[in-house]
Amino acid sequence: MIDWVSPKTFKTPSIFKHLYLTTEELINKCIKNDRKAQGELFRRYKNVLYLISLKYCRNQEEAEDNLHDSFMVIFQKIGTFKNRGSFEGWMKRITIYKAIDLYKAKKTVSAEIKDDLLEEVTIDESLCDLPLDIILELIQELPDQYRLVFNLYQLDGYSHKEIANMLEISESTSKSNYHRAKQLLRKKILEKKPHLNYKTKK
Amino acid sequence: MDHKKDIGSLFKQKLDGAVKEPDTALWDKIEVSLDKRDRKKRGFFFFWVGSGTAAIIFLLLFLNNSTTENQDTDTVVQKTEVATETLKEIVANSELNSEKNNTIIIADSTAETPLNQGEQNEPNELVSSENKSVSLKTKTAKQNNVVQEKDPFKDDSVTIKTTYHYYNGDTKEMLETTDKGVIDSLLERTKINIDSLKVVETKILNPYKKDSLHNPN
Repeated sequence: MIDWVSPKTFKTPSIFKHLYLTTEELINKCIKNDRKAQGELFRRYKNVLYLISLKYCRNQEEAEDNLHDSFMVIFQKIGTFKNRGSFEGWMKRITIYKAIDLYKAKKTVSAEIKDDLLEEVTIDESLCDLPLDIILELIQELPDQYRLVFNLYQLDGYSHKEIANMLEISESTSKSNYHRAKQLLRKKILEKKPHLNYKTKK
Repeated sequence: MDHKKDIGSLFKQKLDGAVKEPDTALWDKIEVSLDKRDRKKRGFFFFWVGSGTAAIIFLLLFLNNSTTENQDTDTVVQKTEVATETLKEIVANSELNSEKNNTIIIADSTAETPLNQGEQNEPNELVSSENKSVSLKTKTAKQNNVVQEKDPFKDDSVTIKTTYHYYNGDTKEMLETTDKGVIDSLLERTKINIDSLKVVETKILNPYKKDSLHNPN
């Protein structure tokens, strides 16, 4: 005789229970070093943080290493997060700072270019219609400090003052680095134009 | 004609809604690193707990030992002091004895029978030798009175009286006399007996040796 299980007794299998946790519940479980909760946290935020790593690092390998290190720090310091701001913003900052730590010491460019700071760096919109990988590649090819400043100022909204503090450089250096980064990006796009045009048409 | 825009803004526009997925194996790597860190943490915890308890035990043992050692050394020092004092006394006594020829003999053996000379046997020799040592040992104790009596710093008007003790083991009688000649005569008799016993001994022992040499079986 079949003993039917009533719908009331049916429970969510334990392997899926982390899927329905709120961010706060997930954080609390991660503080208790719950491996499944940590896995779920990784699953939820890996793409956002990976994109940040790709923008700030030189290549895909270094970006993955940076993501690994960032998550290790996140799981270690998660107890210090006090729900004051966005949890995602907190994790993004950790990822950015991790990348800065990686490249800050390796200063390759320190020359300040003040003459052409006022010059606008523009390009035809159609030329910039590039696949994501190429866009990322162009950024990754920038010298370390140019890349960091361009990302921080242009893509993540930090001020030159904040960048100067973060990278331990002067504000004017940050401004010139940003301008120089844009010049280099335009130069590279124009150099690769035929190839890029072919790819975009395809 | 194409519309020109700031390159920075164009890049931001392209990246804002972008999605990139990392390698699926990355979580496995993170998990391994987390496990490793947990093990390290646990290792550190046990290391500190273990080393802490070991240090406490060591300290407790050390403190206990140091206190008991101090006590032990105190007693040892006291003992050695006492021993040196007695040694000094013995030396002083023996010096005084040799100068003044005072001898006290105390025999506590059961076999020694100066009165029954004919029945002297082997153990008597041993006993007589023991007697000498015993007499030497007891000399200090017994002679303490004598030493005190013979103290040169004392008044000469005090008369010194030396008593001699001879204990017979068989009869369990203590012979006490002021005449040294009595004791000497007794000792001479025993000496003779000891010599005669030695001769007897060789006579008895030799045949065994010969037999053993001639008949190895």
